[in-house]
Amino acid sequence: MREHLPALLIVIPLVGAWLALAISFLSHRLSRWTAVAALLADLLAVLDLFPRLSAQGDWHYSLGGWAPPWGIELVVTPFSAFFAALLLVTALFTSFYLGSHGLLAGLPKVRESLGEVLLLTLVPGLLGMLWVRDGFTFYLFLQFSVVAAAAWMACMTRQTGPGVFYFLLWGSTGASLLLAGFLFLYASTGTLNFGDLLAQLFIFKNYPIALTAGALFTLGWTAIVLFPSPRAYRPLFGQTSPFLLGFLSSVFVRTGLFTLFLFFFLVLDVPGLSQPLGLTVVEYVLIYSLFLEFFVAARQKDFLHSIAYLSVAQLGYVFAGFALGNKSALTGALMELTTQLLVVAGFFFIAGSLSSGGGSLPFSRMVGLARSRPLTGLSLVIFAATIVGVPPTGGFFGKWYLVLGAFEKKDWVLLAGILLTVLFNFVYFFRLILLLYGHRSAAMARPAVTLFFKAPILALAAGVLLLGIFHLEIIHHFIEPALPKAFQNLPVPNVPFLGKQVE
Amino acid sequence: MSLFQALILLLCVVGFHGVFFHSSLGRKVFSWVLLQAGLVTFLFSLAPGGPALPKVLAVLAAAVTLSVGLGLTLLCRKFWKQYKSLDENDILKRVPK
Repeated sequence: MREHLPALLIVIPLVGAWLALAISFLSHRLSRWTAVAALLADLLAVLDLFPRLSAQGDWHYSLGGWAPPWGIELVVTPFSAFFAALLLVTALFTSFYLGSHGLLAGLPKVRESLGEVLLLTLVPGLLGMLWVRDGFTFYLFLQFSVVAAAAWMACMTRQTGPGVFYFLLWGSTGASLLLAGFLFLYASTGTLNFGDLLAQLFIFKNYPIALTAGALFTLGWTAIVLFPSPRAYRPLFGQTSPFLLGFLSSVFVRTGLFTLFLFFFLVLDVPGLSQPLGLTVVEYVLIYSLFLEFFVAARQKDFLHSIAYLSVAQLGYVFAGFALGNKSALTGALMELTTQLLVVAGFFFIAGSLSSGGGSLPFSRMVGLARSRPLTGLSLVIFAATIVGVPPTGGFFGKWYLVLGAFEKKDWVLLAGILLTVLFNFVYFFRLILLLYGHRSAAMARPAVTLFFKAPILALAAGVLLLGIFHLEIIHHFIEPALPKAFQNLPVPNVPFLGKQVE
Repeated sequence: MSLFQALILLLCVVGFHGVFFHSSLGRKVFSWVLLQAGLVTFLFSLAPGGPALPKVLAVLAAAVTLSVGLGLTLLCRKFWKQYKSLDENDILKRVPK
């Protein structure tokens, strides 16, 4: 049974979803516990992967015994397993909070149970995206995840608004553009397997196709990673639970970005492919427009809107790492990606615990928060500190490696962008601390919440600190093996491929 | 470029443009379906005389288009019943903040 673990990890939550759905007809409480048990079982199964991954390296699993490139391959790497563990922990925390949200928002119990079922349906889609190494299957997993996430949002709101419609439409459009990218590659190489694509592009030196596919992938993901920017998804904010927004913006968006890393550096990173100057300019414009969102976030009067802009703005660091493309920068990008997953979820969970049943949360209501709820205030300070890059948070080391990468490449444009945003955020960070520890009026008194309710937020804040404290171990065990082979100091043999000698 | 390839390109470009630039939600859905139709046609164009895989992929892509398109159409129907309009500016004005 254990030799099928990569496939089982995708099957467990799906089976759990069906079970939870069936049980919901008998008891809603039992259905919720079934969903939690399925997520927990999946998390334990992911943790069970690590001994084998550390002993034998990447786990290549052929679905149905059909070997790649003809068959569909799942590849579990130490980093993707680590990422999956964080994904499942965040899903468990979201599930924990959604129960109380349902109660506050006055949702019927049946909707609550169905919400759990849809969360369980979304998780395998995201896990599949992390592990599958076939272009078309990837598209199917992505489209499946978009539909499941849209259905989840529709289920957990009292009135389905246009926000859900836009999510489904733009998510599906992004998926269509990704499919177009894969079809371009398939038409020119005759394969959809990621490893095989790299080899074929290298042999036939079809660089324009690789560049076109790269542009389509980026465009496709841009339609998706802009979630939950209020520019595109404003109708969602009044109606959707911040816990749900937090899960999607942290896990969905960051999973997508990790797969973009896979496409860029394990599929299209063809030796000899040089980037035209025009594309470099487009990359700078994209990264700087993401960085500008930090300024927009600082101007917001509503905490929920501000963290939504912050969620999008932080992607600029990851894209900067991709654009720099050297070992230090990619290490920084993956470190940032991991940290951002926890930070964004933490921010939205705090917003959810402060606002009742969704809706707005003006900053004026947060004055003195750290005095009335010291642990929540402390968590907020830790999350803000990691965005600024204060040691020893994970965000500090992510940015450190990015700056190192920019220095090594002598890319002063990106270096200036990273340093400017860090400086700007530093000022913003102090303003936030002053607000949190300021004196509040009696009218702003908040009801006390139990330590149990705050535990997931505290765990995420602790996670951000642990990522920083143990950054060397994380880089050595998880991030370095995920980098392209050229950065791993491995001897590369001159292996004949399909009868042709590779240069 | 053959006429068939020009048709594929036209479907994809018109569809992509419509998704982002139409203000009617119904037209947006139709545009997305056009974009998908372009991709399905592209897959079918790869099939004659070649491997069977593109045909299978085309059928799967068409199934995805139908199901997601149906979902989007149902949402449009719901908005039509609720707001008596499919114009996104009209709807966004009336959505509670």
